[in-house]
Amino acid sequence: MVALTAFARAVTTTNVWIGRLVSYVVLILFLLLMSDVIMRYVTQSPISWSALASKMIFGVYAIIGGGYLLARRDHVNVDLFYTHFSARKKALTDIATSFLFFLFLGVLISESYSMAYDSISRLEVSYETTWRPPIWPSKSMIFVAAILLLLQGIVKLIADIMILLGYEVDESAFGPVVDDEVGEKESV
Amino acid sequence: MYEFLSIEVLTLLFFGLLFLFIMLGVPLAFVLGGLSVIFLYFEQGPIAFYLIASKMWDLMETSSLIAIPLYVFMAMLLERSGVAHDLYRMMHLWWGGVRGGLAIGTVGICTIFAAMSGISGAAVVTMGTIALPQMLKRGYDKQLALGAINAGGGWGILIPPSILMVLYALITEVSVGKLFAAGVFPGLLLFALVSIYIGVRCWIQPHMGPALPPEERASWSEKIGALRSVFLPIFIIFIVLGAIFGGYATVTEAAAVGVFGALLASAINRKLTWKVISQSSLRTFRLTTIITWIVFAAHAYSMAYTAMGAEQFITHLTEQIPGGKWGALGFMMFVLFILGMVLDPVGIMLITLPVFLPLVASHGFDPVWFGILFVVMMEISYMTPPFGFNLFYLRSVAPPEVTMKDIYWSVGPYTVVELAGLFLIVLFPAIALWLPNYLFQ
Repeated sequence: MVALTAFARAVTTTNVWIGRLVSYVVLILFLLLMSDVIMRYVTQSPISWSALASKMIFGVYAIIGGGYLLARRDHVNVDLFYTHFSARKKALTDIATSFLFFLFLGVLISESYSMAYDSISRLEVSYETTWRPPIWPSKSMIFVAAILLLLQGIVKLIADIMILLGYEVDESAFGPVVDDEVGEKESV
Repeated sequence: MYEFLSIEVLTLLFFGLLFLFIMLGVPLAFVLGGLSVIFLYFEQGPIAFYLIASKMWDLMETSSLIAIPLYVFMAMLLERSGVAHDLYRMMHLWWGGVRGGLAIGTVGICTIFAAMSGISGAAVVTMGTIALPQMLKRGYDKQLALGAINAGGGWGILIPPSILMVLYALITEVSVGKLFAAGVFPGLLLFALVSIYIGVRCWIQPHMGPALPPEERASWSEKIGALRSVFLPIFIIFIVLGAIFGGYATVTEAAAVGVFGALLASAINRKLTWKVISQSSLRTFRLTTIITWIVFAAHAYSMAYTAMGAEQFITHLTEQIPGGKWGALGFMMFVLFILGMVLDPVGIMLITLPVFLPLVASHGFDPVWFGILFVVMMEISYMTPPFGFNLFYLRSVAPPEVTMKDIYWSVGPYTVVELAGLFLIVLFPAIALWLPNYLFQ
């Protein structure tokens, strides 16, 4: 049990830290696009690489936090009935439906692995503009993001099984983690 | 591989399982992703699985999606920028002497906020924090006040900029700029209708929203002085929407300009701290990731739907609805209304659009106009119980004497008013389409 908790804590801490760090990337996106607009109108010479660079940075930003969200239980769900379930019933439901998660992640991991393998082995670059930036790093991030999410999903499954068996679950290791004072869930 | 199953049974399974697992509380992204794996397997075999990863990469490369974190970031910054405080003070001075004036002023601020923000939560949270306690203190009817914030708070997605429109444009391939322009007058129409409702209701029943006693009303010099508060919002709206509608910047670039405006406004109001920036960044990251994972999974799901070949079946099915094209439109709106009670707008959009778009095309509806109707329905969905984000946001900031029941009951009349607005846009499509046609010939 100690080993399981240590594993869970390692995964959760990693995801939370990735979330913390990557969240600042929005500032980079802002600066890239803003300077592009300014350069276009002030110096009449747009930065040729900024649109492409912001696209590649955004791609990683958009997917890498899947595990972080799961650690916070932030993925949107309908809790019409779910909120009224007891902790054990919630755990049981989640275990029974977890096959959806593992099917999705299993396929995503195996497919993104072959995509990343192919991309890295030929050091793929983008041909969109005259600037030929490597795209293999951002492409292979799908695999990394999927692994991070899968690990957090495994941690969640372990927690559910422990709840079902009546063990005490340490939320700071297994989630849901609370990493700031903003209580509500986010929405569009 | 599934010859033993008719298309009817298969379609039923497809949507039935979706509904079942959603109702069991499984996160939407995992339901969509998991089911698409299962259905793709039975339709085309494992050979089709590569699509799941390659579609994800396509979306990562979609530059219009970069607008999402930027507009969210802009809204998160504005929420703490103090802009809303100053606006509220101005509205209080100008409208306090009118029956129901504080509520009308509140929806007015919601309209201004909506024109600066692409999401709806920001206005609900700020108005729930600032305007609600004031209205309750002045003896306003609880439900009148709650409903006003609930309704006005939803306009963030209708009045440009709008995250939901960015996603709608991505799926339907209509221009985002056109959609943004099409949202302007419908947004103002809803503002007018809701204000008229509040005004008339309080005129007939003065106890619902009493006017401030004469000694508390502001002098003209105070009123004029307070007008300063609209400069910053007008400036932000002008640079963002002006850049888009004037063709000076793409929707994504305009979002960066908007972030700049929001940072500037915070700095001028001395609210710009590192804590605000880092907290806004974190919340932006969460919301963006929530959206993108649903979008990724839903893309796989709509591929599975298309591969199933249910399109013809569904089209055929809707031909059975009486009333021709208007019957079909009414049916779609009804489905959206029902789904809006239980699901979030991004999810509803991604699940229903693959099914609806062929119908929209076959009946000859304008996709931009349909997009506006869609967004108005989503706005109503924000405030209709049991599942509406505005309800939860409002609950989280409302004073303790406000119960969830108060919030639930408050939305009734406002839903009727907004449905009336929707009906007007259906009757007179020009309300939505005049501006985009004028701007983008």
